[in-house]
Amino acid sequence: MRFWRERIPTLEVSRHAAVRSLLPILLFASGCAGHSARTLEARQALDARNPAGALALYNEELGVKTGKDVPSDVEGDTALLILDRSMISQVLQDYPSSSRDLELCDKQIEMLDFSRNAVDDIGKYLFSDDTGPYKAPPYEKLLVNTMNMVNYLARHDLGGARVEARRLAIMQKYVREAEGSAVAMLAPGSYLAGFTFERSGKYDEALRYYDEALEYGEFPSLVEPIRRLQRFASYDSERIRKLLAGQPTAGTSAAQPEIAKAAPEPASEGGIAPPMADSPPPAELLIVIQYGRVPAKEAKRIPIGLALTFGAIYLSPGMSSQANALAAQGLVTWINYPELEEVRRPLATPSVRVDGKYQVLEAALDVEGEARKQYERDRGKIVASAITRTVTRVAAGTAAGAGARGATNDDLAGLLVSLGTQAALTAADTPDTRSWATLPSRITVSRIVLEPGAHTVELQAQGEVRKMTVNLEPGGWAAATLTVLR
Amino acid sequence: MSLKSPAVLFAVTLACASPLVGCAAKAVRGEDVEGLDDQAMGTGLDKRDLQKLLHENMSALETSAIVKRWESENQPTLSVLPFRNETSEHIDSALDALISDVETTLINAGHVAVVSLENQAGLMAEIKKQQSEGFDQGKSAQWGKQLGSKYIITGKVYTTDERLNDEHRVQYYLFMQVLDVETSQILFQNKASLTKAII
Repeated sequence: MRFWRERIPTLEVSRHAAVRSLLPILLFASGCAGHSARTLEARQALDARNPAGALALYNEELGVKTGKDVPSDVEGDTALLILDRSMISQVLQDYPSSSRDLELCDKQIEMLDFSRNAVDDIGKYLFSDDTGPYKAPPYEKLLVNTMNMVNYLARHDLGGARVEARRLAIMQKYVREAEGSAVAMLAPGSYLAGFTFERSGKYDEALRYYDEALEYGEFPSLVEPIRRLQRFASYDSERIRKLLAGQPTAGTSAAQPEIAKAAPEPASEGGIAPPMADSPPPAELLIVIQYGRVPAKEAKRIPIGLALTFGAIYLSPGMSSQANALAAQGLVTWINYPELEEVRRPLATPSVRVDGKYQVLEAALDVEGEARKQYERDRGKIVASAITRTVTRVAAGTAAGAGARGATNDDLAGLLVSLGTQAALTAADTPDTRSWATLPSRITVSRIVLEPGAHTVELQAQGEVRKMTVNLEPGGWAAATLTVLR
Repeated sequence: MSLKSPAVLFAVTLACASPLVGCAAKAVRGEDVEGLDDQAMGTGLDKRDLQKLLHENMSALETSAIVKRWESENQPTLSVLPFRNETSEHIDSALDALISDVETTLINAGHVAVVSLENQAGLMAEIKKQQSEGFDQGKSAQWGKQLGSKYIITGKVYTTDERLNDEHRVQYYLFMQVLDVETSQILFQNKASLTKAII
């Protein structure tokens, strides 16, 4: 030690600087309550049936005046706030703003995905899971394009919807190959992509997407469209043959029967017979109702013993025994980590009425169920990461204290530095509560063949009612959508 | 990595703290910042990409037989229709800009009299709607007749888009065609391509 003190006089200063340098981080961390806390008030506004208020709160957080404005810097966690905001714009039927936000975030999420580096990883181990860029889970990546397809279809823009369908296909391939999960999330996207390509006159592509949707869910509403398309397209599959033969096509559908049963009248009772296979394309109404909201993440503290039962399998033997030893000495008692909200919002069955008659809705996806499954798969790793960070903090504090004690020959100074270091690092430890928290809990779809002309449509979900009149041209189509995030 | 040395701790602290210090964004002009237009900002099409695709197609057109035919016809009328977006990127506004660029190049070359769609908002909207809902090649000739043009230029952009590990590559192909409105015959066709990527 003396050797270094003589040759590098500034090293002693560095020891103190090391301690002092923690102060700004402590101050920074104290102002940084985590993503979930930042957006809590806005999510509460959504629960209180005040989406306009939620939008205003997100705008305030983003430092802009309206939902049409984009902050000058959209990097980092700002992208996640914009992603949250996009769905509130969809609730408010401001589809262009919602699309703009989703497209911005689609690109940002990709850049963030590619940009995590060694410094981020060091920060993750020492300070917080919140350090470094947000890495979206597979289901969020897949739903960006699905949600934007809804926006484009609501605007009757097939060109934009086709771009989103193609982007979804690329992401789907990537997720399958790179991450090997979240396939069920494709059901609504594939259904909407199939509709988009069918109405664009690209029948083989439409059948391919419908086939994909059938892999993840049962969609009786696809029987007639597929039968019709087969006259013009060469695409065929076992699932399509099964569907047309009235056999089950998939085993992974979400809560579809529950919703189908809840609809009082089948579509065929609406007075319109299913079209014959050789008739021209019928006028058709596409319905998309999205309701409920996925659970957000929140910071949670659990005893180290319980944490070890969740995370031990993902810890190295050395880290595991070190954690056990520190727990036995009473030096580590609690572990801070992000957990999904326990609140399960009550979900009422949505409904759709066309010209006063109830129509069948099909459940395309239980997003909340998929999000919870994904979290269950990841919980062990998340808790293991929190344990590692806590143990590392204690080790860092001990090392800093020993350094100070050596430099000053003062045990009290060493103890203070040790405690100060640990306190600073603990304060900076924000569990990573980042997630796309404004996704709907359920996605339901329907398509209804109607006579050309004007029709009244009434969509209802979670007590929210949207009434509209659609004018269908012969062979034309329209989309009626309702998003309620509570 | 050992965290027992305070010097190492200090280094780590600095490394982790450095991203917290941000730089304020400021607005700039292209001519004030050297190479501003050279930097790719993503996998979409920017000004430089459009210039490259346009240049390749117009160079091929300039040396094609159709130009000799136009020269013998004493400035026949021609319209440029919107280019179809068959890509995985929202590049419609870039493709709209391309129409004006093609018109400008043709006007300045002087081989044809350009009848611009710009002044016919209704027809432009109808064409875009039709292109959006499913393209019918036969319609192009019909629109040409509506515009009173003898020839039309139209086109489409395709992509092959791949993502692997931490890389994303988009290959663009811009096809440009010259059609005879009377016969719907394709008199010229060329493909220009370029690649954008995040690596």
